[in-house]
Amino acid sequence: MNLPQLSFYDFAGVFTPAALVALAVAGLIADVYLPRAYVRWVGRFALVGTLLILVMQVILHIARINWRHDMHLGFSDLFAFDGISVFFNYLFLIAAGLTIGMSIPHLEGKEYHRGEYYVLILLATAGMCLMAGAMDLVILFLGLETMSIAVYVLAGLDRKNPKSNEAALKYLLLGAFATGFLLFGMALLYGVAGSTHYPVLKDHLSYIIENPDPRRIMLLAGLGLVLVGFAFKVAAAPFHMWAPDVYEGAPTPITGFMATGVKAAAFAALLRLFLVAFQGEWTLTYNVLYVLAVLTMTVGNLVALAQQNLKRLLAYSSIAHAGYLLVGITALVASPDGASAYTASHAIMYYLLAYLFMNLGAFAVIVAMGRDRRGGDYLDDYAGLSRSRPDLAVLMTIFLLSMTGVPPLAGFLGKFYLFQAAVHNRLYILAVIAVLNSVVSAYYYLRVIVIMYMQPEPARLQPAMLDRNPTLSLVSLVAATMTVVLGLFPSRFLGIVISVLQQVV
Amino acid sequence: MELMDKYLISWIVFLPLLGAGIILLLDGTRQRAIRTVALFAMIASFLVSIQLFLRFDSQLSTYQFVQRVDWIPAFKITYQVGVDGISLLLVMLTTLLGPLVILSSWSQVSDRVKEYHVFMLLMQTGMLGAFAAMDLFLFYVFWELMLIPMYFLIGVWGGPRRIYAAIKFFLFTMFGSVLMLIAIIYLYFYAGNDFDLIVIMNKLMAEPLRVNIQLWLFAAFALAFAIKVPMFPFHTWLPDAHVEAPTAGSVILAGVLLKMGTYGFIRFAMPFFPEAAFQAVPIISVLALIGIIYGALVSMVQDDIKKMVAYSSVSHLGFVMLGLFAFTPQAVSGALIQMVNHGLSTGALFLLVGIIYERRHTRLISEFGGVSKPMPLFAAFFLIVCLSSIGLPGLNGFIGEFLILLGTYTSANPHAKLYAVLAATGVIFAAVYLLWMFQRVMFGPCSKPENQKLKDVNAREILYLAVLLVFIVWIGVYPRTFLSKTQVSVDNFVSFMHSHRLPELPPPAPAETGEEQP
Repeated sequence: MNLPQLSFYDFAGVFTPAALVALAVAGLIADVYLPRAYVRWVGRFALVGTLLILVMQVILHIARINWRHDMHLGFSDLFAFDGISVFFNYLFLIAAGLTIGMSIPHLEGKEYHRGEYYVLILLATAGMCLMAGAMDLVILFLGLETMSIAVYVLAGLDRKNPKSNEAALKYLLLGAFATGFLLFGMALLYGVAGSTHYPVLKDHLSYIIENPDPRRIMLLAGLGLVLVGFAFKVAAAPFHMWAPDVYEGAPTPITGFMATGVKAAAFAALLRLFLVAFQGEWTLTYNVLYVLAVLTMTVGNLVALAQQNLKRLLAYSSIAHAGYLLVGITALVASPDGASAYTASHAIMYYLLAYLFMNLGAFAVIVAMGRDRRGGDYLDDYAGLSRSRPDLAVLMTIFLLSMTGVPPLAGFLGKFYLFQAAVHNRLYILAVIAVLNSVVSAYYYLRVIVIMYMQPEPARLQPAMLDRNPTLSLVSLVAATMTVVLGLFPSRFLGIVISVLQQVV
Repeated sequence: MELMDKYLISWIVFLPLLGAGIILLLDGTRQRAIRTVALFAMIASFLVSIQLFLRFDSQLSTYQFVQRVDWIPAFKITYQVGVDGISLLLVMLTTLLGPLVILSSWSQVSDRVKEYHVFMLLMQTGMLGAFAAMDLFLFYVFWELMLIPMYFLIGVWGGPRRIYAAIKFFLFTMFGSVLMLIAIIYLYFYAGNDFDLIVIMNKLMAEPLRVNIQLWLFAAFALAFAIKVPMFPFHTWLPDAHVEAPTAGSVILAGVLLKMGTYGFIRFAMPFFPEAAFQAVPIISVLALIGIIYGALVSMVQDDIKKMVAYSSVSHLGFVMLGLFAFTPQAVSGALIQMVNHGLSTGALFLLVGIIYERRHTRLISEFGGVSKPMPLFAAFFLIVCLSSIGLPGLNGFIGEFLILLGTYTSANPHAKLYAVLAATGVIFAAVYLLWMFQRVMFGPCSKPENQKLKDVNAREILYLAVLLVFIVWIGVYPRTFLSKTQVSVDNFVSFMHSHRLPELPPPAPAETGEEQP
């Protein structure tokens, strides 16, 4: 038997997901032997482990090993170790770290505080890393399912809470449907190209597009179904119906994780699909994405206007943000040349990074509010927060303004980058729709600020009894600092984003 | 000295921010210390800006005291600031009003003093930065940065309907500015990936845009600025914001923020798209005239003094817009000086209204009468400011309005003479509403017992009113000090506009949307 030689890149590429899985297994074992009262040590273990992996990832990055100049494929070209995967590994590790960081205080004393919780987060993160590196539909699917199944369970972990049950069931059923679509689409693509490998797909697809070919219908159907599957994962309208219920019912840190990590993973996969496999100008895909982007932004923002529950509001806002990102994907597809495709990809990556911090930060504030018996799910809970807890109010304001897109915060630069990519590819109307959508979004983000700063604290309630948990403070401070730094001094981060993409295609 | 020159503008812009940083470190209960720090930060910024004014070379039409630092090299975004004759006066106006508003809120604001002053100083940095920015991205950042503090100033320290007013203010302004952002991005690509104002201007001079593209982009810029000015029919946020804002907020809003709109026209919208600007003359002039007359008529029927002053701003800014779009040196100079005048006079009016509101907690004209008896000094200040706002010769308002009317009358634009005649009626209306209000508030029997016990202005109030009065008289008697600084830049602007119309107008075809669809 002729086994392919395994090289350094094979291992460097899968280092992060492999280390995460190992960490998860270790956590699982530790959980069995630790007494119930020490379960938060599993969380701490997972947190420290994630940070260590992050550090190793940085070392790998610095060592660089020429990846800057080349795209390295490992495991018989199934898996890429290149700029995109490195960038997204960072992103997922940070998301996991922040999520675990806010989960430990969130779960304190709760019935469902179990070691599996952290293990599942680690496994989901490993799945995300696989998705970002996948150069083959099979690997992509593997990563997607690893991530999804872990997140299904996480969403329903709060077993005694009917809302959490509803969330998990809904997510599972609809997610299974979407997976079915995705898988069928992949099968059709395989039928067309005879391979699931991206570069092979690309050759076949461009041949079919340029020549009259009976396989065209099959190709388009396959492509459409794959898009449906991803549209579900990123909660793009009209496949977004699950998101608000699931976001509301899931434990708060998990909601944040889903809105940032899961979404980023889906976009990472889409990015690679469109950069490598589905290259070239695709009128049909372009039209579909265009409509999808417009619908997603508009539906998300308009429905968010009417929300009374902050988690639901952020769910709809996250739908809207998926819409902005789809503007980037549309720009990517519309790109006439490699340079504009890069611009669009940079924009998407930068936006995901900015969104990660501002959104997880907002959820960290909700978690902090939830530690008081008043709770933090409803908007009314925030009345007068600027007096009872000015620090939380300031943090929340920073995150919300950043999501609105107010300079000089990260969210502004992200939006600017995305819309710039759209204008660059002559998508003027789309860019105008997108900016008008951010005006609409300003209304509901401002409403939260109004409640915090301009409404008095309800008298019937005790003054807030919030304790200051150091981990939680750290998480929200890191998020806030990054939100400001990414906006004010983005050069370093932009440099990373740009350099990682240099030689991808 | 060399070093000082280079960073002069940055000092002016960021001294208030430095003050805000110091205040953040102070304990919130040390109100006096907070107010003092804020005042000193504002005064320091003003003193540096006097240096700027004195050292400014009025013979040059180019930008001076330019400082350029790379900010986000990936997009060729720079931190680049500088002033020319057009922005110089507005920077001066802003730094002058800064300390005055801090003084005016010395006893008026006692709730959340720390946050209040932080927002005030942040606001100041945002406004100065927007006037000095020479990079379109930087300008946009400062432009949006101003929104947040003002939103909080209105929403937290404002009157009963403050939340409505604050959100309306925010959404209106943001609506305009995001469309401008798209236009800015378009220019960025047109100029070969550069946000630098000079690079963009050079590119636009070398290869002017096609007319229909000019019109679209001009519309995007003009909308943002017209909302800010505000021009009729985008003015509806203004009365709400003014009435609900605390006094200092109103002063800043009227004194500086509205100028941001007119400044945007003269700095960006008009020189970028000269052909479009000329084609827009009829629309802008008619809207400006409607603003002048409508604003004056609505002012006349207000029963709330503050609301009256707010609507009078619509009228006054109408003059400025009319002047800018007359494209004659006199009218543009007049418009520039009128921007400053409006900042001084209307700022003073809001301060005066704030003084009397602090004492009586009402602004309804019917609640007053005969106030000149208990408050003679106040009445004297009020009268002079009213007369300056009306445009009495010898005071500042006259210079601006006269130059605008003269320049408009001599303009080559079609129907310019008619515009000038109609605009002149606005001056008469101004006399009507201001003097009528003054009569009802100040004269007649002082029948209400609350009014009889009113205390006259105290030393602090006299100080900041006197400062404004000095400038009101100065500009009225000897405007050369200020006009001479702007003259070269204005002449340059006007000749530029005339020489950069597109050579041959295409036949008037229905505007095609040539920039659509990839």
